[in-house]
This record gives sequence, structure tokens and C-alpha cells, in this order.
Amino acid sequence: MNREEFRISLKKRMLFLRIFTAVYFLVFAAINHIDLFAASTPQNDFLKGFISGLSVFMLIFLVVVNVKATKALSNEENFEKIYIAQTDERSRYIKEKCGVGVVMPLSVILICVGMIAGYFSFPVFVALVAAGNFQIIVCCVLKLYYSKKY
Amino acid sequence: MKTKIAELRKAHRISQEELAKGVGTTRQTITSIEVEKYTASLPLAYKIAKYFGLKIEDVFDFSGFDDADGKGEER
Repeated sequence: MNREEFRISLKKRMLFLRIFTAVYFLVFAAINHIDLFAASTPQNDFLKGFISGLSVFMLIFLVVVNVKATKALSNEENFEKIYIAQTDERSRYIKEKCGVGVVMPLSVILICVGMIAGYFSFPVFVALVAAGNFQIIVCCVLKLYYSKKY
Repeated sequence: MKTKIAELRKAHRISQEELAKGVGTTRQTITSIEVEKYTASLPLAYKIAKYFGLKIEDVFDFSGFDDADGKGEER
């Protein structure tokens, strides 16, 4: 991927990210106004806290990514840095080796499904979120290992 | 794979950062290639050689690939 292709791809990704952030913010605001749990049990409170915490983290993460991408497109020096970081062959090789491209989306899906399942069954929520987190930890450990190896 | 990148850098008084910027990669990749942890791809090897105005075989040591079965070194 050359610089111009990367610039176009970054612009497309940014548009998608902005739309996703806006939709996510609306859903986040709606969920915080509707009490989906019937009773206040320790399990429900834990689940509510977990979902709120993760939602706030996701929102902050999305805003940071948005700001970073906007900076990259407005400043040539920042764009160059991001372009090199994204296209660096060693980094890509390490990412391929630890399966970031597959494991990360899968883990996010597992955690999201776990949160939805939490409204119906607490053990399913715990199992899915634990599996998602375990995958992320294994991926991070592998990334660290391969970063040292190569 | 053995390389002469470190020697060439010193001879040309170029830092790893400058070389990395010149060939469009990161400083960490240059370090890994220099310490023989990572084998550069053909396009990157070509860019590095071109940066110094040399041929690929003048910068990278391909003697490990000259064995009889032709498979050479593995990563």
C-alpha cells in the first residue's frame, strides 16, 4: 500500500469511525437512561458497573483514536509516522504471528455478546467475558514474546 | 542473516533513525536486522542497499543460502 492509497484508506476508516462513535454515544446515552435490570441484586449491580465502566473506556478510546487520525491527516509529519508504523514489515510480521487481526475482533465480539447475555444469565456473561479477556491476554503475551524474538 | 548495515551506517555517519526514515521503516526493524534477529524482506533489503548506493549482496550476506538443497536458512 503506497502513501496515497493509505491516505484514502485512512479517510474512509475515519468516516466509519466517526459514524460508529456517534452511534455508540447515542446507544451509551440511551442505555444509561433505561434501567434494564428488574431487581438490584449483587450480580446485577456488578454487571451494571462492568458495562458502564467498559462503555466509558470504549468512548474514551474512540475519541482518542478519532483525535489521532484527525491529527495524522492534518499534519504531514504525523501522517508519515502513522504510515510507517502501519506498514512496517516487522510489526506486521509480529502481528500476523500472534494473530492480532483475528483474536482482537473475536475477543471484542465475545465480550459484547457476553454483556448482552448478562441480561439473561450471569454465568454465561462471566464465561464469555473471561474467554474474551483470556484471548486478549494470550495475544498480548505472544506479541511481547515475538517482539523480543524478532 | 549477517549484514553490513551497522558498518555502513558508521562509515556514512548515519543513525538508525535516519536510515529507518530513509527506507520507510521503524528504528526497531533496523536494530533487529542489525543484530540478526529479523531477516529483511526483498523489497526492504533492496531499499537499504539502494540507500547506500550498493547491491543487495554487498549489504546482506547470502552465504547461508548457498547450500546444496537450495533451501537455505529459515526464519
